[in-house]
Formats: sequence, C-alpha cells, structure tokens
Amino acid sequence: MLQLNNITKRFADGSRTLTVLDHLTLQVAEGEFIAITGESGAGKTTLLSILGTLLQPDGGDYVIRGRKIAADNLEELRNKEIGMVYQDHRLLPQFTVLQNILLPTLATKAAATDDEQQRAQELMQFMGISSLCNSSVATLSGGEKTRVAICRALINRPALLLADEPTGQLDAANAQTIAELFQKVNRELRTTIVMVTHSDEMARVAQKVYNLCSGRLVV
Amino acid sequence: MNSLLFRQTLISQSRRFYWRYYRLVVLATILMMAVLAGSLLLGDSVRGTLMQRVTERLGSTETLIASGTGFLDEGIMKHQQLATAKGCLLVDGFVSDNGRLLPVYVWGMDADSLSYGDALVNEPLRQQLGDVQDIVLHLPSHNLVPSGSLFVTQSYATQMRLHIAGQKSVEQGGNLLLKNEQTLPLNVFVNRQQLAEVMELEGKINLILSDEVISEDQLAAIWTPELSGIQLADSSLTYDGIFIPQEVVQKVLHDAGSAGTSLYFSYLVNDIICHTDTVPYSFVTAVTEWQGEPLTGRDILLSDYAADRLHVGEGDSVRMSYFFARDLKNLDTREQTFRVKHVIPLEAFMRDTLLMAEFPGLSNVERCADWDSDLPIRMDRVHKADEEFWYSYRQTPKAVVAYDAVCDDWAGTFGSATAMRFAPSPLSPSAGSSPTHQRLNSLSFGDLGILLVHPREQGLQAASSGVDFASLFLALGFFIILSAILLMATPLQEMFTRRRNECLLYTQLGFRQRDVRNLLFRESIGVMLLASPFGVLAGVLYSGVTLWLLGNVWSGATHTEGFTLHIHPLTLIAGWVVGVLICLLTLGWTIRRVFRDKGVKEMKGVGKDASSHSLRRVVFAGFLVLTLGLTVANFLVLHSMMLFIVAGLLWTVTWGLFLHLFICQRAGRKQGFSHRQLVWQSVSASLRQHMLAYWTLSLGVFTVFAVGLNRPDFSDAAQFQQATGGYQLYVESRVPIQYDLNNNAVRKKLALTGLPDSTRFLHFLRHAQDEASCLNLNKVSTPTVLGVDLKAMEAFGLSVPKQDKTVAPSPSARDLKPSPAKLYLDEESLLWSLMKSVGDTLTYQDGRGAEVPVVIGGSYPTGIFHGSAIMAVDDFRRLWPKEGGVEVLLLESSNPDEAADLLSTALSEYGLTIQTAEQRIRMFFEVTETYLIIFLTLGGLGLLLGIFSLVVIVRKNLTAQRPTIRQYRAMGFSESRIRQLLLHENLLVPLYAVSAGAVGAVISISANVAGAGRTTILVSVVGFLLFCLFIYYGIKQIIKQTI
Repeated sequence: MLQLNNITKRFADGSRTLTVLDHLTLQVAEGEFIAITGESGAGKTTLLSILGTLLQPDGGDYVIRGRKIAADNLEELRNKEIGMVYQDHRLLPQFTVLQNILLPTLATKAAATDDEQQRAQELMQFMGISSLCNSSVATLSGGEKTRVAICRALINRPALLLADEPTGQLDAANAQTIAELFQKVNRELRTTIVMVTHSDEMARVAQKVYNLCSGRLVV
Repeated sequence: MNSLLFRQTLISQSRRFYWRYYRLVVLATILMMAVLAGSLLLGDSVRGTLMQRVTERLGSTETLIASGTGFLDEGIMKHQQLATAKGCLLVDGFVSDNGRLLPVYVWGMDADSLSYGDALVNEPLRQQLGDVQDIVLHLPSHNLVPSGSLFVTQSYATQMRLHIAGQKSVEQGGNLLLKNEQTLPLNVFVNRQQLAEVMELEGKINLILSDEVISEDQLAAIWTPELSGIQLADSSLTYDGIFIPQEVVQKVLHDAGSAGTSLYFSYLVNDIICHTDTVPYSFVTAVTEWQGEPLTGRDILLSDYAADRLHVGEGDSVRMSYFFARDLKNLDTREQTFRVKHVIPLEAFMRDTLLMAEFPGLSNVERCADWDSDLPIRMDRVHKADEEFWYSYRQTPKAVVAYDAVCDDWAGTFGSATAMRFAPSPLSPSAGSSPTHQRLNSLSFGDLGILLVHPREQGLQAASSGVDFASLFLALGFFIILSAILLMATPLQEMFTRRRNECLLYTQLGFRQRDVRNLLFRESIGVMLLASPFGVLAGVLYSGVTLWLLGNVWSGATHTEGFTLHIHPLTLIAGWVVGVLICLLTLGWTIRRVFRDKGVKEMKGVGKDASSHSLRRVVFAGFLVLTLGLTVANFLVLHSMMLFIVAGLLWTVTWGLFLHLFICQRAGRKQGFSHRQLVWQSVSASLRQHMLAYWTLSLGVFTVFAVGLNRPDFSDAAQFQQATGGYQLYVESRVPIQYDLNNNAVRKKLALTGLPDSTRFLHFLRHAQDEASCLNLNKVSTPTVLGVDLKAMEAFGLSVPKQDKTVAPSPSARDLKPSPAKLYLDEESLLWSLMKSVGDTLTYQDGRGAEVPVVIGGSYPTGIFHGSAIMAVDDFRRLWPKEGGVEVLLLESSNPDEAADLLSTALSEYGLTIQTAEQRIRMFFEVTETYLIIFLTLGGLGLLLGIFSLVVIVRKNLTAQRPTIRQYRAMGFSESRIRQLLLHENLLVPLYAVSAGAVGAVISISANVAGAGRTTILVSVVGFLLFCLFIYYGIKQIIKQTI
C-alpha cells in the first residue's frame, strides 16, 4: 500500500538544525491498521504530515500504491486517496455536520453530487450520527466531532486514513468507542489506517504498533 | 436531499458566519467609494457649474465686437449682418448705497422696456441693494476725447439718477459678463440713449453682441473708417476723438504718401511772448505745410492779430511757452523760440477749419472765463482783449508753427495729429470709393483698436480646463481613502489569520491552494461588490454635501453662490471601477500576505528568515540617512517648503521602520525575563496589527498637524512686510485717475492737502483681463496686467534683471524693432492658475487688437498683487498706450486711517475701494486657509477612521488574549497587574505613532516656523496632549470593558 524508504526530515531552529526523521523506513500493506506511538516531539505529527503529503521530506522516497510521490498533483492524491482525522477535529464552525462531511467533494468541482450526499448519509449512519445531519458543529460533543471528522475523511473513499491523536481530547469511554469505530472502518470498509497516538489503549486496536524513537520506527 | 452543497453555499455561509469582520469591510468600502466617486462628481459638478455660468453670462452671444478705447457709430447696427445683434454702451460704474460702494457694470441697451430714468438690475445687485428703489449711478465722464489727454474737462465723473424698474433674470441675460470668472457680476441695464447723452457719446456704442459667429472677414466687410469716427472729406481727414491715432496716421502716410499730405496738430499754448508783450492762452496749430509751402525749423506764421498785440513783424523772434505732460499729467512748462516767417491775416486761418480742433470744455463755451479745462489755467491772466478775441474767433489759431518743432512735445499716446489734409489725388475715383477712401485701403478695424472675440469658445475652454476639483478633492480626501483601505485590510487580515486552520484543512482535503485563495477571494469580493453601489450612492451624498459646504461654510475657497450637482453616469461608473480595483488590490494583497506567512510557518517548517531582518536594517539605515540628509540640506541650503513636507513624511516612515526593527529586536532577546519583555513579546505576537495602527495614526497625525501648523497666522503683521511691500492701503479706483497723487499741486487740486506729509502713493496702470488669483476657478490664459515702475517692486521681493529696469528705448527705436514685453507674476498664480514657468510666453491683444507675445520674466512671492501680472510701465504703455489712467494705488502713510478717510471723501466721484493691505492679503489667504480647513476636516475624518481602526485592533487583540488573561489570573496575577500589562502593550505603539507623526509635522513646517505663529503652535501642542490623553483613556476604557 505505502512504503517509506530512508525518509529524512530536518528543521532549522535559529543556527541549529534538528533532525526529526532520520532515514526512516516503513511499509504498510493494503487494509492494514497500524499505530505509531512515541514521546512528545519525537516527530509523529511530522511523519503523519509526510504521509499526508502536507510536508515534503528532505530525503528518501515515499511510494503509495506503487506510485512514487512527487511534488505535483499532490492535491488530487490527497483528495482521492488520503483521508485525515485530527485531534482538534478541524471542523468548520460556519457549516452544518453534513456540509462539513461533504467539504472534500468540493475540492475539484462546484457542487456535491447526489451520490456523494447519499454516501455522506450512509457514513453518518455508519458512525451513528444521522440525527446530527443539519446540526451546527459548534453544538456537538467531542466524540461527535471526531465521528464527523472521520466521516469527512472517508467521504471520497480514500485508500488510506491518517489519524493524528484522534482521541486526544476524549474521555476514556468515548476514546474506546472511537477506537472501535476505527476498527470497524478498517474491517468493513477495508481502509488502510495509520494512526498516531499517545494512548496505549488506542494503539492496541491496531494490527501493528510502531514506536518512533530518534527519528526511526521500531516495532 | 435538497440541500446540495455548492461552493457558492460554502462562500455565502462563510460570509454570514464571519459577518462581524465583513461589516467593517462594508463600512470601509462604502467610505472609500464615497470619497472616490464623490470627488469625481465634485469635479464634474464644478466644471458643469462653470460651464453653465458661461451660458448664463453670455446668453446666446457668439460674437463680441468691442471698440477698444474708442467708440463705434451706432449706424453699424444697420448692416444686414448685424440685424439680430445688439449694440451696447458698456461702462464701469459704481453705486453708492449707505456708505457702501458697489462696483457695477453699466449696460446701455436698446430695449423697449427701458425708458429714460429707469434701470433694470440683475439678481445679485438686487440682493445687495435690498429694498432700495432709486439709485445714483456714478460713471466715468467719458466723451470722445480720451481722458488721459491734456485737453479734457476737469470733471472725470458723472452721475445718473435712476429708478429701479425691475429685475433682469438670468434667462434674460441679467448676469451678462465678458470676463471668464465664476463670480456673479453686479449689472445695471439702462436706456442706451440716456447713457450716451449723460456721457456725451450720442450715437456711439462700444460693444456689439451677436448671436451669430462673425468672422474677421465678415467684420472687415462691414467696417468702414467712418464707423470708428474717422471723418473723411474730399481732401481731409479728422477724427471724432480729436487726436488721430498714430496707427491711422502712419497707415495713411504710407498709403497716400507723405508728399502732399499735411499733418495738423492743434494745441493750447500758455503764452506767445515777445519782449514784454504777451498773449496768454492761445490756440496754436502745428502743420507740416501751409498752402503748399513746407513749414520747417523754427518758422512761425503769426496771425496779424497776434503780431499787432506783440508788436512784431516778419523776421522777428517770438517765444512760445506751453505745457508738456509727462506721465500722469505731471506738467512741465517748455518754451521755444520761433522766427516769424509771415504775418497772416486771421481770416485766412479762420477759413481753414482743419486748423481748429473742437476741444470739449474749451471750444464750446462763450467766454474764456467759462473754460472747463483740466489744465491749470490762470484766469487772472486772461484780459478783456482775450475775451473779445474768443467771442469773435473762438479757437481760431493765433499762430501756426512747424510740425516738426513741436510734435515730440505735443503728440502723445493718443494721437499724433488732429487733422490731415491731402493734395488732390492723381487717382480716378472707382465705383463707391473716393480717392480719399482709396488712401485708407490698408486701414483695418484692428488699427482703431476694435476687437473681435468669440467668447463662448473661450469661456467654455476656460471653464472646462479650470481648477480640477476632482483631483483636488481626491488629494484632500486621500487620507480618508488611505484610512478606509487600512480599515478594510485590518479586519480582512484578522479574519484570514484566524482562518488559517481552515485554509490548511482545505489544503489537507485536497483543495489546491489556488482554489482556497479563490474561495476566500470570492467570499470577500462579494461583500465588497455588494457594498460598492452603496458607496457610490454615498459618493453622491458626499459630493452634494461638499458642494453645499463650498457654497456656504467653505465659500471662502470659491467665492461663488454655490455649485449645482451634476451627476454623470460615466463618472459614477469610473468611480465604481476605480473603487472596485482598489478593493481587489487590497484583498489580493491581504490574501497574499496571509498565504505567504502560512507557507513560511506551517508548510515549510522553517523559522523566521534572518535575512529579512538584515534587509529591514539596511532599509531603515537608508531611510535614516536620506531623511537626515534631506532635512539638513534643505534647512541649510535649499529652503524648499515642498521638500520640508517630504522630509517630514520621510521622518514618519523612518520612525515606522525603526519601530518594526525595535519590536523584533526586543521580542527576540534571550536574556532575562521581565514584565517589559512580556509586553514586547505580546506586541511582537501581533506585530502586523500594531504596525497597521502605527501607519494609520502616524500618517493621520502628520497630515492633520502639518496642515494645521501651515495655516497662516495673522497675529503678527510684520511677517507680511514683503507681501505688502510695506504699504498699508490698497486702493482700487472705478474711474481711472489721471493724476500723480504724489504731486503737491495735484493734491491741492484734489483737496488732498490734508494727507499726512509722509503719505506716499505707488501708482499702477491696469489692463483689465481675467483674474488669475485663487479666487477664479476658470483657466486663465491672460491675467490682468498692472503697469508700474519695476524698481518699486523690489520691496515686494521681485528681483528684476538690470536690463529690465532701464528705461524703455525711444519711441522711434521702439517702433522699429520692439523686443517682447516682459511681465512678472506671483509664484502661486504662475504655478497654479497659469501653470506656466518663467521664460514662457503669454499672448495678449495689444491696444490695436493685434496678438503680441509677452514673456514671463520672473516671479515674486505671493502677496498683495496675487492674481495680477506686473509689467514695466514703459512696456505697458507700448502695448496699451491709451490705458493711461491709474486704477490701482498703494498708499504708505504715518496715519493710514486718516489718509483713507480723506481719500474716500476727496475722490468720492472716482469710486475708490480702499482696503488695508492686510485685509487684501487675508482675502487671498482666506482661500488657502479654507482649503487647509477642508484638508484638515477631511484629514480629521481620516484620523477618526484611523482611531476607529485602532479601536478594532485593540479590541481584537484583547479578545484574542482572553486565554492568556485567564492564564495570568490562574497564575495569580492581580487584576491591576494584568490591566497594566495590557495597557502597556496596547498603548506603546499608538503613543509612539502620534509622537512620530507630530515630529514629522514639525519638521514639515521648518521652512516657515516663524509663519506658524504662537497661537497655532500653542493650539497644536494642546491638541497633541489632548490627543495623547484621549488615546490613553480610550484604550484604558476598552481594556476595562473587554476583560
């Protein structure tokens, strides 16, 4: 599904250069669910940003479904192949739940189709938030927001779902529910998932767990 | 499933959600559009009103035929070409009403409705006169003989008692005016015959108004010399103005040939003397030949009457004394000795009527004692024998002398002969033309000073290219536009910054950056476009209000009765398009900045570029050096006011660059951590907003204070020494004064002996053209010219090259090869009204109607002569020889009030308008002052907008800091400590901005620190302190409310 070969990423901090990822290598198979853990500042979010093509590595190759990632056409790849879920949900307060979910469908065209709306309804049903369809996101609880964010990430049927601390702001019960939802998505929709988390409970739902340490991944 | 999600939905919902930001954008768009479109409309309205005035003042007149200083016979109106034209007699006059003097134009018109003793007045004069129904109209005592010549009556003015029979409306031509000025004239319309009788100009007109366009060729076909008063007999030529103009004499001599043409010049001499015998006050005629025999040298033909009284015969010598007039009838007595060539019987002289000229006041009275002459004739010297001679022979000359002997002394600017005689012509008369007529073939109407003018074309040209109010008000309202742009950019930037995560999310969702920008752009531009028509409408309101203010509160700037709003759809569209372009640019710039920063910080993950700081340092250093250099160089060497303003502005910019550097440096300090550091860090966190606040406030304060400090202060009259040349009174005379008022004899004659001894006059001749001062909004091409001795103008700061000060060449040399005349203008008129520079050439019409180039020889500081050009008196006389009376006087006296009282009493017939020099300067400065007030008002409005932006920024900063404030509280910071921190954080930059702006303003007036005056400085200092206090308490209050 995806392959990272010798990925290196450095950041300048004044006169100092910080190497966050150091010749990192990773392989994820189609339909696999992996979790990446690590200390704060280890570079988990940086790795996830590279996987989401939001950040370009300073060295190494990123191959997704046999296609090497280059600087061009990243938007299309991001829109069609990758879905992302964040700890802070990043839902837009000016839109309703349904509109937030449909947002990715507007990246390449002026209006969402009936099919896409149908799909949004199905996803909401899948996530158990059908009743919130026309609610304002400002009125949702943390768990509900995470579900909306997952729906949004899945609207374009991506092959890869990236999640950055998706339960970071949730209580244990809600976190457990969300973890199960991720499992359900992986299982029933056959979506490959890469999840970055602090939580061991959350990591346990993944099929493989990697620890990011000194810029490299350790199983 | 009807709620399809469209991009448009995305945009409109975001617009609604972020309306709290967009409402400020709407306000800013409306304000900016209003000032833009309103200023353009103002330009249209002022131009439209001026063009409307042209139509009002000219009616349907297309052609003007003016007779110049002479007159035309009313018989010209019988010509077919002039069938629909109106012949008028136009003179300057004045009405005295309750001690006020109202200068009026008196129009003698042929109108059935105007009976003798009745007058019609136009609306502005009616308003001035109130309920008055009967007026006394004072007029110059014109008759056919130019009042500047020696042989005129003592009376220079006359009167008409009139009943105001009604009002002549604008539509009826009540505001008829021939000058390109927007001020409404005061017109009196009277019966032409009555006016002509009062002025002894029966059958004469001096102006023809035609509704048709008449060409030069057509006028040439209409005009004959007789219509201009040239009286042709079979073998002679005389002129109804007595003195045949020099141009006519020269043309006739050229055409007829000097051989066989005899010139006559009649003169009243003081005495013919032989030993102890004297004949006083005799008419003597100078001739070039007598009965075919040339008269040359010192030959005199003495009448037998004179020979008897003097006891002389042929071959004897007699002396003859006569008055010789220098400028302004300063009389010298000259004497010449002649040899009696023949003694001629008086009857022989009587038979030749060309030897006698009909001088008004002399020829038409029964006795010598009744002579009414301006000459100082001593009647005690006139005896019985003289009265008897006069009774029998009137102005029959007692002697005839050689023309060459006296022509230089007697002939003047008004003419060089009183008659011409021709020898029998060898030419055979052609059909309709006598031999005498054929001698005048080359004479044209221009030689008699007749001017052909097409005033509508000129008027419309002057109106359409006059003061550009659109540019003026765009400049005056520039700071409002700038503030509105800043007010627009501030919430946009704030909103986009807040929505960075949203933008990032769009990118993460696969939106291209271009699409994200496009979404934001469409969202915002929609708001702006929606607001823009309201802005244009507000512009109509803005221009309407401004026009009302210009006609009322700010009428000092325009001196008009107001303007009419002219709304041109194309102008509105132009204003809208420009406004939308500004919105697009502002929006594009703001989005670009937000995305550029986003890219730097979040996409690349690289820290702040250290090189940008270095670049800023270099830019700051460059600005500092440039500003310092410019200020010092200007202060020590250049002394340019404009450069001082630039330097002041540069200082404001330089301090802004310094502030930016300083904040970055202080925030970046690694050592120590204190409250101060906390404050600078917070300032640094919202650096952009603080810099926006700096630019808005500092530029606003600079604008308002620089303008305020540049306002003239009249508290110290000494600073106007150069503007007034040290003279205390400025006097304008409606009737030209033909005397030198510095002459004691003249003072005695005019009952001015009571003037303090120290009283000194400076006389100016005037060739009236258009007013080029700031009071005239029309484009001026030929300003009014004042003729004066240029040496006297040095007191006004005019530096005249040496060669220009020298006396003009002799008349003969002048006629051969005249060099272009030079004129001098005050700096403001030259720059703004004429838009010319020294060395440029203006084209005037001389006294003969010919176009002559006049070179702008120099300029002098704007002062009492603002709007009029100055010319050396010799050049003036060369161009306009017949405009010899003094119409403008400056007076210097130890007791100016007493002098003014005496002048107005003694010269009441002349219609003197007396102003103190300071009043006149104030009148001109009132225009500048009013424009400065307008600028100050609009600048103040801009500053208010700036303050409003500051309030928005401070409130948003505080709102954004709420979590921080909560954190402070959680950490145990006291409320007062928190407020203090916030106050410092939000107060430092505004106070610094106000100070920088004020310092810049002080530098901008360095050229004229003394001119600022104590009151202005005091008001400015107090204003500055109050403004600082206002900001302090304002911010304190906002902090209190927000937290």
